[in-house]
Amino acid sequence: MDIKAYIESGVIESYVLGIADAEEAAELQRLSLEYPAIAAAIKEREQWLREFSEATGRPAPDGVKDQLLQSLNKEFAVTPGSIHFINRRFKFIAAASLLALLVSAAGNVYLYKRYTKATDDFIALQKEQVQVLADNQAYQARLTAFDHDLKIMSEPGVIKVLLAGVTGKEGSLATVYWNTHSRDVYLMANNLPPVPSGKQYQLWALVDGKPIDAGIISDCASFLCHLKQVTGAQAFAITLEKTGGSATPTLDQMFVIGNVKS
Amino acid sequence: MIDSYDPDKGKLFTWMFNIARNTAIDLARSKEWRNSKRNNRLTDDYAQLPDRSLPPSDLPELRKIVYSLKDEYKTVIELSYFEGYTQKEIATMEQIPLGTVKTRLRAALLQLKKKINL
Repeated sequence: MDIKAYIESGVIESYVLGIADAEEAAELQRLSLEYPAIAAAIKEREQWLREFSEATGRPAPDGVKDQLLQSLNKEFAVTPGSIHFINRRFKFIAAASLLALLVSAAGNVYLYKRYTKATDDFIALQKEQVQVLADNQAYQARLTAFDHDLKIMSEPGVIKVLLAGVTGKEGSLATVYWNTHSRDVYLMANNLPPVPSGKQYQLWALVDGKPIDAGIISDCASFLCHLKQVTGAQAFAITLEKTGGSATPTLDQMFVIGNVKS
Repeated sequence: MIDSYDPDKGKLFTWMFNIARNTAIDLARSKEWRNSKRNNRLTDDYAQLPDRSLPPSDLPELRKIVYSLKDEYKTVIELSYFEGYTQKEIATMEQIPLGTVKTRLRAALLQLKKKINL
């Protein structure tokens, strides 16, 4: 592109005077970023315009500056002088408005506080209701479970066997409900010490003097646990075994034992 | 309005210069202004037409130099700079291509500048 010809084409003059069209102006601005010579030419034309304007321009008529400053003052500043024109009635209205505003503001604060309190109360009540509902569901579940347990306990042929703590484990207690018809064994762990980690309680049925695995006991403190089926047991006992149970009972880890009353 | 001033695009003086010029043209075009002129002298209402008459003697220096240009240059300068018409509008009014308006305007400005600098 011939920069020199472009600079001398007169397009910069038309741009500086504000009569270039939008495309010409955009192109010139773009080129001025690219070519310092064009940017310099624009600066030079602007300087020329300024010098020429100052040399030949007509001074503004007297009073224009004052008029201008006055209208600017009106725009930017609240002049104290204008208050003199406000009459008593207006003052009264202004005072009343201010009072009304203050009262309204105070009312807003009061209502806002009431509103936030009501909102907080509402949230608290909602939380409470959720809690009550959850409790209700828990009770219902327990009630259903008790109902279920009660049915098991009261079925015909069910024998209740109390397993009492052995020497050194006094206080431990468990109850076996053994349905001699269906041979199902149910256990209630009334009071067994907490299980150490890596260990589990295991129920044994003693059949003709031999211990037979009757099932692993998990959490049977609140509800009956359904364990294995047993035939012909004379006694039941619980020992502490490694997790998963053992094939034969660890006798020195026996907690409770009880005989079947025939 | 000062927000629209971009120092990258030119000097403050040029910006103010163009605002002053645009404001003057807006005022001259406004109904109120033309009505006030009409009240004084009906025959003064010629704003829509390029002025091809001889220059009155009390014109500012710049205007006098414009009048000394040849007609086709004078016309584009008058219409664009003093009356605020866009190049496209001038092309329509004068029934010449837009490119010709551009060429004439640029040439006219260069010649005007040469005369001013003498």
